[in-house]
Amino acid sequence: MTSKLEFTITTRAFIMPNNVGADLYSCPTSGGVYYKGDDRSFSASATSFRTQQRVVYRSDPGGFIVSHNRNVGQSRSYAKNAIDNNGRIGSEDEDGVGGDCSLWHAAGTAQTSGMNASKSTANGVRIYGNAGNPLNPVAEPIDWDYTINFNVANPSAPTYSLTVTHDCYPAHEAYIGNKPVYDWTPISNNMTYIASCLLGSGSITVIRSGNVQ
Amino acid sequence: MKLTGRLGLFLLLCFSARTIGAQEKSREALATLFEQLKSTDLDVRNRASQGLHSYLQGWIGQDPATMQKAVPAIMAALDDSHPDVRVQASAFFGLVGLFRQKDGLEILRNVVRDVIQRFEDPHPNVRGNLMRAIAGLEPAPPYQAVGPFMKHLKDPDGHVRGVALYGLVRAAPASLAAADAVARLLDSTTDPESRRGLIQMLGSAKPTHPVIIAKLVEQLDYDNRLLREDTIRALGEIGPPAAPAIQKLRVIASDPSTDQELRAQAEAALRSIEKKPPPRRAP
Repeated sequence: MTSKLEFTITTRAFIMPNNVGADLYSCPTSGGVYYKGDDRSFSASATSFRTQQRVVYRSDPGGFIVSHNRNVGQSRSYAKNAIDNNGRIGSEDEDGVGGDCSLWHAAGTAQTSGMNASKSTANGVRIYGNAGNPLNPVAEPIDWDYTINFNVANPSAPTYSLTVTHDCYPAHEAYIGNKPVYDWTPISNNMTYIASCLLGSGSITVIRSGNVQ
Repeated sequence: MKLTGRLGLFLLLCFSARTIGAQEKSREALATLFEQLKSTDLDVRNRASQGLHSYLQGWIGQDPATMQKAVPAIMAALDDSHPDVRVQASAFFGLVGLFRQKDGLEILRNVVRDVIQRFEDPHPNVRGNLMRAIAGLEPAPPYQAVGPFMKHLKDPDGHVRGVALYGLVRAAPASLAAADAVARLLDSTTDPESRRGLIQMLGSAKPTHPVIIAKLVEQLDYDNRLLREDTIRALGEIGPPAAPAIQKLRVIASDPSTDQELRAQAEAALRSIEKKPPPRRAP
């Protein structure tokens, strides 16, 4: 039976808290810098993230990728005095003067060239890649590798199977359409934990399956 | 008194034996966890991965002598044919490069050469982690690492190239070869976009070598606005060692034909280099 189902798959990596730090790589003598987080929980309609890939996959016989969009959120770092008042980074910390280790300190955008999508060996897609921290080039990048396959034997009730391997930091989420199919919450936000996760320690692999609708 | 002394000695021996036993068990546990990463059972693999991560979190806070005891198991794992084992093992040393720079040389003293030899690992994360470990050593990375760092400036992986550059910048104060290698990359024969990438890295790596600072200051003479902006920011990040840039930065900061944003950035860089506090925030 020929099926012509299209699936929109969205995968994101994001930082749950308002900020994480301190990274002593910059401004070490004034308490390091704090990175602005995405300040949110899981959400299919989220607009704040570190990385996002959206793939439209058409499950024709053989299957093919219709489109692949890659996005990264801007990385922004703030000096310690930005969080001294209430522990949060907010609009009051946007002083517009960079490189001075006071309030807003630096901004940068990671490259998307390491974010890839390809057809999987079955009926589905592999969404994988990495993105670095543009404000600390010595930091390890965030890594992820999703494979999502579809079974459309019954086109009115397609099913998926998902295998994902990723670093234990930051948070990850995946959706097919608006249906959440994967989420991961890191157990800590301290710098030692973050760094060891990004270095590749504690990476995890998860397998999930279910109905698409 | 004698009896008390003997009892004390006996208790000390018992305690030492227990401690050695615990350390032995700990080493064995570490080797077992690395082995379990190769399991075909996903649950076993994930548990091993999380176990290693927990072990690493505790290990990184120990004293150097205790940390050294785990080094043989980590080195053995670095020779494993399974890439996941090598990545997780290399993370141990990578974390030393990030969080134990001051006593890193003491922790890795018996294996520095062996770690440098493994810069050729086929997995980029392993290469990056091991180079990070050596690049971070204080007071500077050992001279044996300079050649390998220079070689990896052409590594196919961009992140590894970044760590190699960081290693060279850190080695530069004691190694003219390292300083020259970095300075050459800032030459006008390198296209401005590549130079911008390098300059952004230098802002974070904070070189102090006069040869590199002089090359950075030269970038302020180019017409390319983005190149100048990145250079000004990097000079500000570097701080007082970037003093040779002060004169040119003052000209930029006071030049009415320069746009206001660039002037403000030049002022901020000057404050950082001259160690002046930022202007007070409006109430």
